[in-house]
Amino acid sequence: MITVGIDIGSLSTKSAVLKDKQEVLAYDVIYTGGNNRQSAQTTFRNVLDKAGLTEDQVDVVVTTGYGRENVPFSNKNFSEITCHAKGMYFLNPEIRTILDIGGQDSKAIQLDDDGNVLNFLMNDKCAAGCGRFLDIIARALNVQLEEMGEISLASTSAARISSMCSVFAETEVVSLVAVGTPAPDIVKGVHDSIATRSIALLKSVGIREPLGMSGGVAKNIGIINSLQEKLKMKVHVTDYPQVTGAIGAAYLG
Amino acid sequence: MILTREFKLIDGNDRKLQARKMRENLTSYNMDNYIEPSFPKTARYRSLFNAYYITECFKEQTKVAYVGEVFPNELLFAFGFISLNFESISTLFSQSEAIDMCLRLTEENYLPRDLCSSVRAAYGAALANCLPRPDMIIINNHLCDGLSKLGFQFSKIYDTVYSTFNVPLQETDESVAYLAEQFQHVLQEIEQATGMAYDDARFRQVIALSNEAKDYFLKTIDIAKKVHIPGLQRELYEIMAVNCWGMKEMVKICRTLYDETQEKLAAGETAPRMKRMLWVGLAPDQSHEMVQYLEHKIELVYWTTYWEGNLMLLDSGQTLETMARRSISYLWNSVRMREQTAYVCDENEIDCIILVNTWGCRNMMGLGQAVREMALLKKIKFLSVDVDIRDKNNYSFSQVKNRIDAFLEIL
Ligand code: SF4
Repeated sequence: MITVGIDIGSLSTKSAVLKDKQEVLAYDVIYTGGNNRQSAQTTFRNVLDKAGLTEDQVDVVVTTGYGRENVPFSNKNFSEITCHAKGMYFLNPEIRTILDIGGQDSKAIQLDDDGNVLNFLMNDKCAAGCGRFLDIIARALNVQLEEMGEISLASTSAARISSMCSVFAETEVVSLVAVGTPAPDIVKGVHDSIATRSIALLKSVGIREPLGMSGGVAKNIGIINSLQEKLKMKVHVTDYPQVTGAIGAAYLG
Repeated sequence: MILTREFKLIDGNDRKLQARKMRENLTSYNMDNYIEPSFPKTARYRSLFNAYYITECFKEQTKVAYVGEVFPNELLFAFGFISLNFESISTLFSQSEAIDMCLRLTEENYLPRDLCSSVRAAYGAALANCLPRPDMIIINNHLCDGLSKLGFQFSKIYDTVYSTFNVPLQETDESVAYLAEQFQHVLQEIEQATGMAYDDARFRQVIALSNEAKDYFLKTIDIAKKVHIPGLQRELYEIMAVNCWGMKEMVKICRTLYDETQEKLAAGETAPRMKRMLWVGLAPDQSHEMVQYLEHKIELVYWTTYWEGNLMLLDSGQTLETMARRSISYLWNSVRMREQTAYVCDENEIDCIILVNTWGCRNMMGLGQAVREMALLKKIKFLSVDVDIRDKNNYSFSQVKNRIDAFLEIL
């Protein structure tokens, strides 16, 4: 049985193909852009190409994410919370708490032993603490988003980013650059600030170990380090952090 | 400029002008999401009564008082007053496009945006000069300081009598006696302000009417707890929002609802039991997208309807004391909140709770924590959302819907 999950997020659209709910055959990530129906269609085609399959061979398409109800070829849809939970359960059934940091929101989810959601909390009001925040700071520092994790490893003394708003934090970063603060210290400061916000979210929902992280931001080693330092516990990252929701959607198919 | 330097309305404090402005501003009343009432006779009486009430407020000879939510309106009805509360004024405007104008006026007049929109909307309506000039303002200075300051500001704008009382947070014999004494004092202030004498016989009559209406209401609540009759929980909430206990029309509305409920029971017009969600916090009108979305998926039970302070009957022997008890128990304190919400959950076999946080509401302090703790203890699923039913700048349905969908999936 072939199931496809498509996760239409605010910044990127992700897809994954599962075979018999056991094996990830392929996955794909593209920018969402202004037309989420179109991006769902594009990533669907891409992922089938990568898996060497045709549309006829697909049994079920499940959508999730903000644009989940807007895809004509979807057979069913679920919220990202359910899909991230199932995706994480599929990828690492040991995990009992998930921190998901996406482009424009972050979530803390507590799971039971079967991967069902016990409780969750979302921050979807403010970009500070999300992927978009890193994006803005990378631009202000003129570095690549993907390099930020590595850059922060060279920090000797993290700068303190006091602002809780990404727009004002950008101003703060520009001021730090102006007084000669080294880039690694600024980036480390930004990571610490995201970690602090995420921990508040996690603690409100309650942390049951092991803790896993999903979402594109989980690929940033600097964030993982900041979280581990502050929480004093291991943060597990799977092989497919960015497509956890899409995998979960396919798993629910 | 809307106000003079002495906080007086520039275009005059005249009810005819205010009525015209009210008509002009409320022309954009939002009927797109109109819903066929499930209890047509009750809904009709209720709407007629609301319309009559508003019309009366603008008549020159009518005595109008603005009050806070916990003030016992029966005291005013005994003097033939009509009372308006600030939250209801805000709710009325929130059903119309005029709400944006009200909120804009407050910003143009230096009111900070982080005040709750209940306060801002009512203040904006006053600035637009479309509220009836009050003869008196009676407001509690505790627990909502925003409301009490709003009342004071109104008294300056309309150049009217301002009377304030303090509601203790805890219920003890001393605190009840203290509040009852203040009500006695308010009665004297009403006498002074209006030149009317307190009429005990009239007062007794009002109390009897208040209890009679509540009696029908309580009997209907008992039915609503046990069976699912579509639209009943909402109608109960709407009646609670009318909040005119002590007026004879209220008896008619409550009796009609009870009769209609009995008719539906006899005709077998009940629906299969759905999961029950307790709505904790301020609720919008029925046309609101969030209410409509939820009511298709779940049976919504409104906490306000079952709140002890709203259901108490008045003891005709110790009327002021029972009014005081009612006002105190109305206040949100975290311990009371936890206990009463637990009771409402048990009585109604609640499956889940949605806590609706209102932007800028200081009264929510302690509330979320208390309800969440109780929900955890009772293993009831709990969701907290931030909703502003008046200021669209503080709320996005797509965000809230996303959370609700996830929550419904885990139920
Ligand atoms: S602060 Fe809260 S209780 Fe006070 S008026 Fe505003 S919404 Fe109502």
